[in-house]
Amino acid sequence: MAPGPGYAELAAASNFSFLSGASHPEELVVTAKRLGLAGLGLADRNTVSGTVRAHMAAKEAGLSYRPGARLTFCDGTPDVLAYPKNRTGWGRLCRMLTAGNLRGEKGAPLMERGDLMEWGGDLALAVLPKPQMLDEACLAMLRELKSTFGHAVRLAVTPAYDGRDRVTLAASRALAQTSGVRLMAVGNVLYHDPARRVLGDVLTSIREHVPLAEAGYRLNGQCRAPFEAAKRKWRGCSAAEPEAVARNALLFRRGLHLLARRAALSVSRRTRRRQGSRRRRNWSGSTWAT
Amino acid sequence: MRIAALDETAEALGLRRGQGIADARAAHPDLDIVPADTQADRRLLTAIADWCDRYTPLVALDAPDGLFLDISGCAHLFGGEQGLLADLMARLHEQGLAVRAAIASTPGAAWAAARFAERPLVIEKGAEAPVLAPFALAALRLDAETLAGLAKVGLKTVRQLIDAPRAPLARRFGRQCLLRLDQALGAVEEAISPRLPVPALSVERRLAEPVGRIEDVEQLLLALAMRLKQDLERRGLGARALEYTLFRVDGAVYRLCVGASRPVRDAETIVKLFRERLAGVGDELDAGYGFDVVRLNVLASGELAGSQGDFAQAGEADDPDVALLLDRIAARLGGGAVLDGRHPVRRAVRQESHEPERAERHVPAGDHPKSLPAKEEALQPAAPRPVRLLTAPEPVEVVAGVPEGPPQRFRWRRALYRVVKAEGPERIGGEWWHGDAPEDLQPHPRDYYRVEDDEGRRYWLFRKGLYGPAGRGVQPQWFLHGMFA
Repeated sequence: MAPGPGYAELAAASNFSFLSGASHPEELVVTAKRLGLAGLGLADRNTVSGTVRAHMAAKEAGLSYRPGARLTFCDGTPDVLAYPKNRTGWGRLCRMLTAGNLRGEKGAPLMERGDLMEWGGDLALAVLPKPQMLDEACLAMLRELKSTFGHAVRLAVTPAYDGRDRVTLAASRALAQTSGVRLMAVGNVLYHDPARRVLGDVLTSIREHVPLAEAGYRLNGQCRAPFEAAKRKWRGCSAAEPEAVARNALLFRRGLHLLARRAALSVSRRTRRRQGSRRRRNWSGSTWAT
Repeated sequence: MRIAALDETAEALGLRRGQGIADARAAHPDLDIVPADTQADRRLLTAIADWCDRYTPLVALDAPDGLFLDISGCAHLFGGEQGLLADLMARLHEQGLAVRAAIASTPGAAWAAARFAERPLVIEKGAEAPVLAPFALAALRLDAETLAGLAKVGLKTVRQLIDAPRAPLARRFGRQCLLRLDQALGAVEEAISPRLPVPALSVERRLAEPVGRIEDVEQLLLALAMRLKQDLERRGLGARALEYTLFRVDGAVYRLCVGASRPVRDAETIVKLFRERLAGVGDELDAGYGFDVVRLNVLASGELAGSQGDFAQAGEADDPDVALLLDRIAARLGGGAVLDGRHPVRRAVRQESHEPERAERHVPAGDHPKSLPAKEEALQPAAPRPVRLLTAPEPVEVVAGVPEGPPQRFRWRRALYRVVKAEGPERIGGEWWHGDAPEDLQPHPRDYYRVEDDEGRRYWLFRKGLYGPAGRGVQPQWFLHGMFA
């Protein structure tokens, strides 16, 4: 195994990414610990709801955990992983998600690139484009982000196991060099155990409204043995991309350990508050009735 | 070794079924012993069943030595039940077969009467009990164990069983004993399972003078098809699968099947299809002394509504001439299997699947699958697929980096190939929803590599399974699955 910092996964999606993640946050945390990952960042699709459960599990397992979100946009902007650097950053991330939620319907927030530009400060951002999106538009976006947020912006690369990984990696590297953005290695994890692939495929077919047998290429056919594959892949690549892997660990070394607890607290507090007001309203309703 | 069957002479000598061969030989050293051939027996029984089709389409095999014919509504064509029985026995006797037969309103009673009555019987409905009463209990199709048990308590004839109290019998010998009795007496319905599907429509012609020439056979077919056309028209149907059955005088039966990719009704078209089939069969159709019964069955039909074409001749794909041509080719090549997907003229269509073996499907050439919406057509496999895919992946010996390195050298069909360039892996997880076994839920993933050897030839190799703990303890294997251009 290559010396130096281990691999930390920063693009794991739990079942709070509705109909795409197929594992509970707790399961992801426990598996990450068992596989000896240096840390885990939970990035669910346009939500931070999994934070509390992941934080509690990570505390129990003794795993380094970072709260974050995966921003998916409705205007063709590639996905962006957002990890707050500090308390202010957390606030900004939550504001950004709220803006998207207010614009869209429940469960389907409409995020726009403008939100990112407005609320992107104090966040560590990693652009995660699909392999076919590594083009001029992506370069322009990277430049734009870089000019606004500076060194906080990175370009994430992930092993897709689609037979074109080396091509994708080379394209990403070229893009990163041109735009002056650094690379970051992620695994794009959707489930913690290979056996969950069955559930993952079923979720996909529900999401796409097609019978499983007809879903065809819409399914994720690669059967990523998620964590393990990513870990192994990047261990293999660390000779070629030492920087990219090291950068993940770096994020964890920053003095962020308090932030996770704060974030978890604020989410749970908010839920409690919402429940409290709901209860009050219920009671007031009942008085009207009598 | 025991005696399975014996002829009348041997029976007269006092031999019986089930006796040891050594015993029999000791008593009669000049016995002519032939090993039993159950396959041949079955073939003969099937051939007789085929021949019995001339009486009724509902013929069921009762292996090893019997046939059930459901002659409801058919007997009057042969001069009543007596007439049918006499005709059947006479014709089979002419063919050199010793037959016993009986007609009854239940299969059980007919079975018993055919085997235990002195002469061919026709049992009227309701008269089963008095006729069957004197027979031994073996007439009720009971298994040997039950028979032995009944004999032990002194029950030997059907009459005794009818008179015996039912409850203790059921308790002691099980349901089957009373069920068989009730079935024979008609208290419980029993259905026979016909050997062949009953055609929806059927026309036939019986000839006083057998015909043998192929032209006559076609002429008869045309006449039958004309009659069939009226029946089909009345129902608004067209035939999708047709069977032309030819009964030869000496008992052989030929069945010719053709299929149509669209319902047909026109007599000329039907004859055209069968003409191809007849040419395809060629010399296999041996007219011998001639055919005395010909029959045209509709095995499957489809709705055929009259329609009026448009001026523009739109829908080139639905050209009826092309459909007819395809059907004729199919008939010539040995059609009949048109409906069950084994159409001899097929074409490949693309199917979305990550598994290369399933990415292609064959459909009958006449079928026009609905083309997918343009948006979905755009979905492609992640990496290019080879020009040629081997029918089955062939194992190769590979030198490759562990755990996920591309192949460096491989040996295929004893030749060594040196890999110069490699691309991959493309991981394909396998479709877990096809199998039933629990281990099918987690098929071993395959890692595909495109490789180029030092002479520029490109191959598609894959490794089944993973190294290390992720491979669940199974050593990975390498296969060659295709070639690129």
